[in-house]
Amino acid sequence: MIPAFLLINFSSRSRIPLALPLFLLWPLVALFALIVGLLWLVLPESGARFRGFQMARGGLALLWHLSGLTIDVHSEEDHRVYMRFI
Amino acid sequence: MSEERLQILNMLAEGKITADDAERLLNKIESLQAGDSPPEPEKTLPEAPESPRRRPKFLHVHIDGDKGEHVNVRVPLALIRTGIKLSTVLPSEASEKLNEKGINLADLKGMDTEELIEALRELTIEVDRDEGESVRIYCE
Repeated sequence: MIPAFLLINFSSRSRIPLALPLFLLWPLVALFALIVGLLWLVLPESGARFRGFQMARGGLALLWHLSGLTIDVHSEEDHRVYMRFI
Repeated sequence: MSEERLQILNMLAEGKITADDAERLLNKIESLQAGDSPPEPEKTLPEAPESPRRRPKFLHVHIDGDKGEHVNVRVPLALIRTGIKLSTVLPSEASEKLNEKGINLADLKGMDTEELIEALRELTIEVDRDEGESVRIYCE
């Protein structure tokens, strides 16, 4: 599932993460997937085309599997970097 | 995506709950799905045959420093699987640059990712140093 939100916090004081609505980008992702699919059908077959298509498909797959990725780092001075895709 | 998870995301999108609440609820659901429910009392019945083990979903990396700093990373194994596949279609120039650094991506081409994920199931690495630093890597 493509992540719907990115919870993010780069603060040393606030413990409440900010929720970025990634679902607003879903239409763009769908359009990109559509373009990749159409190019695959229309463009003449060649090595470069095949590699390009594979990379685009891989990029979409990476985006699809981002959900669940969590990075939480606390420094000794209590600075925090927190990211979570949900 | 499970119905509970979708419900939480909807409530977050509608502003009914805060991101903090959503995170707590999602953690709760994940811990329940991971089988962290309280242990049942011992039964005297004969043991049932071992159920098929669950496939691990996440690679966890916990690092605790000696000065109180810590790192906690959770990577979906599906992301690793996809990343391995994607690395095999990198441009040859990028592969050559990595090769100069001692990283040979050609090795990944012949690798069975499912076999790798299966092997990761049993993976647990724990390193504890005298200074109080510790590293723990495991799959769950």
